[in-house]
Amino acid sequence: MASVQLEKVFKRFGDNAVVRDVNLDIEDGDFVVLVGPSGCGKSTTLRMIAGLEEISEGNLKIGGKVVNNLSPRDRDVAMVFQSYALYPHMTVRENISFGLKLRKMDAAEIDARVKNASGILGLDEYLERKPKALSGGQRQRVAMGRAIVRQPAVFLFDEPLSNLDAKLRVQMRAEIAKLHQQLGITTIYVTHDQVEAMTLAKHIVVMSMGLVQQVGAPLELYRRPANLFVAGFIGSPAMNFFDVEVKEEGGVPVMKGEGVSVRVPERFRSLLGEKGRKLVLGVRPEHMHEATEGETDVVVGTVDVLEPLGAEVHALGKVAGSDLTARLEPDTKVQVGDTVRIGVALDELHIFDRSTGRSLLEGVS
Amino acid sequence: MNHDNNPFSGGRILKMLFLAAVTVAVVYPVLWVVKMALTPSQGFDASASPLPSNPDLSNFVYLFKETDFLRWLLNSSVVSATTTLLGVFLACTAAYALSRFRFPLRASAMMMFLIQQMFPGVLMMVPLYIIVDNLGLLDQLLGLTLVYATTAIPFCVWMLKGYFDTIPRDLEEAALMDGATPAMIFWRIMLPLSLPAVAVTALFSFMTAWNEFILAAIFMNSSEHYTLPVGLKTMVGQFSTEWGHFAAGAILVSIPVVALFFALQKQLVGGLTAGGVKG
Amino acid sequence: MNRAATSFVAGAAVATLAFLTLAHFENRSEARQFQERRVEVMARALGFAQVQESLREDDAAEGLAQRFAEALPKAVPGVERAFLLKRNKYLAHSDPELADQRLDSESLTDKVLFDQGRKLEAEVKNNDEERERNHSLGERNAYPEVVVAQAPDGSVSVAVPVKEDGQFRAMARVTARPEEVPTRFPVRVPLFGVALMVLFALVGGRLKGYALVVGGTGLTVGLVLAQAWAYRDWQDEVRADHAQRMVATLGQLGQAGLLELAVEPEGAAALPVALAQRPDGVAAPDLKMVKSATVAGDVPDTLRFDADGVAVYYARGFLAPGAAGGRGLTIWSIGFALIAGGLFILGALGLLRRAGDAAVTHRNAYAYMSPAMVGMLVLVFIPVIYGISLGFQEKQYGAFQFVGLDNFIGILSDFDVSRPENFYFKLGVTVLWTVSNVTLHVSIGLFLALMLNDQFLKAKGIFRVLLIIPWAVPNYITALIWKGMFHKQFGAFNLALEAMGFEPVAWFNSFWPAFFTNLSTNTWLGFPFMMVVSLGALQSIPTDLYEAAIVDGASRWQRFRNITLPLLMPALVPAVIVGTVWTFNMFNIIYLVSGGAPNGATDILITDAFRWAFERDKYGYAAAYSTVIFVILVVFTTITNRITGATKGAFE
Ligand SMILES: Nc1ncnc2c1ncn2[C@@H]1O[C@H](COP(=O)(O)OP(=O)(O)OP(=O)(O)O)[C@@H](O)[C@H]1O
Ligand SMILES: [Mg+2]
Repeated sequence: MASVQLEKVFKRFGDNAVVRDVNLDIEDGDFVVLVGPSGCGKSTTLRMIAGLEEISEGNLKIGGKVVNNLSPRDRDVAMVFQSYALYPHMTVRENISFGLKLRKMDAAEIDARVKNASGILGLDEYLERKPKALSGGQRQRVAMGRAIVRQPAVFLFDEPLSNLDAKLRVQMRAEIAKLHQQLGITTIYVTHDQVEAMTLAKHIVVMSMGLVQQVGAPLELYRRPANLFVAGFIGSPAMNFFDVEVKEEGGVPVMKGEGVSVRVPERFRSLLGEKGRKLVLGVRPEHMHEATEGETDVVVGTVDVLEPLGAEVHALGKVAGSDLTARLEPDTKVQVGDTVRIGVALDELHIFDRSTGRSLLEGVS
Repeated sequence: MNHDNNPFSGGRILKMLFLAAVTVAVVYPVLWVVKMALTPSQGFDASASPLPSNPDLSNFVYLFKETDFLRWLLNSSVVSATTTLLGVFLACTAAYALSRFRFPLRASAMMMFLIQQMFPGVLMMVPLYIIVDNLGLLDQLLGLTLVYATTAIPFCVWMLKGYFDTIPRDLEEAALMDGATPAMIFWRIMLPLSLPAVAVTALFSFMTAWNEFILAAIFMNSSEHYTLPVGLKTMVGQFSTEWGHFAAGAILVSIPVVALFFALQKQLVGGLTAGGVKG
Repeated sequence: MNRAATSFVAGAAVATLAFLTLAHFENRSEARQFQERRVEVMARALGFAQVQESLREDDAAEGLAQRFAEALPKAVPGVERAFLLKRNKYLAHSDPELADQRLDSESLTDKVLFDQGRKLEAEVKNNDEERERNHSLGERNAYPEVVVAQAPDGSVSVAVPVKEDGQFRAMARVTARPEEVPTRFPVRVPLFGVALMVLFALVGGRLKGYALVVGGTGLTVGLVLAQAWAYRDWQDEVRADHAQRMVATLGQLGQAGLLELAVEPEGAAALPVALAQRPDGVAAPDLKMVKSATVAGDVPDTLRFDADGVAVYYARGFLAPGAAGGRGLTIWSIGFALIAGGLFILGALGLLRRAGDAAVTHRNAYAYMSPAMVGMLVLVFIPVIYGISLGFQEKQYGAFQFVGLDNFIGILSDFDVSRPENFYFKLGVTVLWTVSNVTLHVSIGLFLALMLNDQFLKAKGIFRVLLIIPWAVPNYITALIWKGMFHKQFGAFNLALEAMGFEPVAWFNSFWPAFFTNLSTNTWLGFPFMMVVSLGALQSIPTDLYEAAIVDGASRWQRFRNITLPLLMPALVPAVIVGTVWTFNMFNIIYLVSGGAPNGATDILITDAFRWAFERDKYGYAAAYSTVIFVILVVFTTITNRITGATKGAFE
């Protein structure tokens, strides 16, 4: 087990920098999830840690030691691939024990470890089968088994669940979480599924276009997204954004936009700077409700679609030019085509600078 | 594709009869050679029947007793085995690089392998003779082996490269993570997985060396360095053709290749299409 | 030293090194040619003497052999063997034990000798007929009457016909070990060049822009050319030396009474010149006198003849003016100069360094590639380049001369398609041969594959195995057997025809039957490849496609047309391309089955190229021929590749 540090790491393919200036400090035993949209450089970052991809610039330390130039074998890391990459010509047992055999471990020890791993993963009855004769979920488990038996210092996962159906995914997610609890091995996990990220991670790293956008505990990212990108990426359904400007109305600063009028909460007032500043107001759907008669902090929009989910109803529509998603009570009377007034929870507002995209609330608890 | 699954339906019986007829026609010349080999006379046996009238093994005995046949057999075996090993090794490494790495001049190298096959062998003979001579390898089995291995390479490279392309890169990376060195990855992952193509490659390299006649005839001067084809050709000579001896020799020469074809026919079907020919 | 200067040194060094290597090989081969000619002169002298002593009285040969045994080693150091062979009997032999003996029909080497004799005899007859037919030849020969063989230890054997009254009588053959001749090119010039290069590298570093490029290129080119010229001068000296040795040889032979030397008292030292300026083309018909030959002053003192009654005979251009070496090398040198200049400019532009960087970055890839590449380079690439370059040369006076595009023009500008030797006629036959073969291979192979691709068919494994056999049998064996089967009297085909009451066919007497013999042989051995490829492709077509089509109500033919055929194409198209190339160059079958009969009509381009090289001894012409074949095939594959995209995926 070991800590992992990335210091000013860059990766370039030719002139194209796909990972830029990544700094991460991952503690021993941590469970870090890298999330971000497709093509943002998650896999590349992971593969640099694994040693499958050369590091163009910067340092990678595992257990405090710079390992930039070590081959994967000497880094003591194990990886589970999205495609599982099981050796088709070997049985499950051979697949799992291959890495141990290469390290010239003695047969009894190998046996014990394989047994242990297959016990944890429920693979006992499949040990003598070839991968071809396994289901997707079983294959995924074999891939994990292959990583577990090695007892590496760091586990790396690259979207290990994306080929499974929804139900199996939830189940395997739980197993991975359990495994991490049992073994306590430092884990770096790549996914573009934010639910996976939220449920599994101790810390989440959000990436976009090769840059790290924010690092933090799942709830921290949810509560205090550092910029528009993170705000939009974390949380489901995604946060609503409205273009607003601060105006004075009856001596109180109000954020005004087309169909939007929300007072600036007292504790944020000092942060917003001069009047007329162009801002983006962010409100999560779950922090919205049908406004009562006298409520003044509202957005006004039309409803195009209603998605009843049982416990709640998602109303999708438009506020002037921008999209609106609001979570409403299951017994709402709102109909498609209605114009609705939606109230927002003033305590849960997010405010961003429109030109930089940065949150203005940093440092505010 | 016939979805009727009765093996003895009328259509299938007809089909089998037809195939049997074709097969007999195809195999007939071979049977005929067998007959000549088993007939003691040295004439070109004329009767249409493919069965020898009073067979004996005198032609074979003659080959082993009276000629350098064993010597030629040994030479051919050495040359072919070395060519196969060398050819497969060279083709594997080159194909692996072409399949797995992207590097400057890669396309040119592949083009070169492709175009080489179009060059008329005749034109190569004299230059090759001179080069092999300058390497001091004339009339030596090693010289012949080197030339054969390089002639076999282009086709093998294309075939293997095509096959390697079908093996996911993930597998190699997984092995790398498991702690394998590049050599181990090659031996324990790539090679077992591409066994059909490698087998076919080996077969072709072997055939190149085993069957080649002209270069061997030009390069080899002394009878003790003759390969089988050259040795056999001396029986179809200026004086007269010793058909019985020739047929016996032809059979002995053909048996190893035919046996290899039989052993590898499954791989042949898979290896050819998955790999080189499909490109 | 800046980058440009360094790259200049590299470029010039590479060129110099290449030049020296080539010069070395050129020297060796030229020394060998001289040796060959000396041996040839001896062989002719031997024949000449024999004729003098009258060949018909066989016992007269004994004294001759005796004299030979004594005189030969003095005339040419390293003579091992000399003899006269009539049919299968030695008339005279330098080894007294063998004189009068017969050839041993079991011995391979003796068989070779016998064949050589037959070949020369045929050659003499051919030349006679050719002269009869073509009066412009005069007394000259159309084909050289000489067989030269080189043994692995370097010793040379030359066999020539002994003729009496224009009739072939016997074969004279002499074998000699190579003599060590000092042929090392003096390294002064290259050394001087290297010094200059270093100087320039030091000083040139200061130069800028054009001055650097022009100066560096000029110096490089000048350097290499200087080397070439120095080499030429030196080579003339070496040749003069060779000439003197030749004269010495002649002198010895003359003294032994084996040769008459005729010298007219004209200018001194004219002999080598006269010998060099042989007037005619390929070969002299027989021993021929050079009237103007003169021996005097600075010839070695082994040569002391009376001015009267001494005749100098010469053989096949044994001293050639500016033999291939000189001029060939000059041309090569210009090439090298260009290479060196090119390297220099590339280097100056920084491309070399970038190439070096690439080599480091991709060192793994190149390491994997290099074993195969080195082999390909030495045993494929260089021979190909060398072969192509021979297309621009022709063997004259026994050595290659640069002839520019003559060979190509000769091949391509002759439109008299009525003659079978004509290029366009051959091209037509070749195309016919290729198209008919490939069509048959594919249709038979595909048809059988379709039949075999039926999972409920019984015994299909056996059929498949037996049907592959023709592919597995070595094709030269197939060819010889099939040739036997087409024998007019004993062949299976004619026997079958007779059994059915037809007239037997003389298969090799007219074009179409002969073409048919080749075609049927090649079809027999060629269809299994296509069958196997089709079978593999058929097996990879998922069955649910057919099921879907059946559900859609497609008929059997529609299924074949719309599913099988399109899905077969990706595998079949490259196989067809490969098959076309193979068939186009299918040498063994044509050469061994019809052998071009009748009259070369069924020869295809490749067999004809072979005949130009090894039967008509026009190697340059043959090389040009092969180059044309090569170009045709490359154009063909490039175009088909473009159209079908057969190998597109492979380059990704
Ligand atoms: N070998 C390569 N050469 C050039 N560009 C590459 C290479 N590998 C990856 N890239 C580019 O780098 C970027 C990041 O790729 P990466 O695989 O890290 O994305 P990702 O975040 O894992 O995406 P996904 O969620 O789709 O897996 C992409 O734009 C990709 O096109
Ligand atoms: Mg990825």
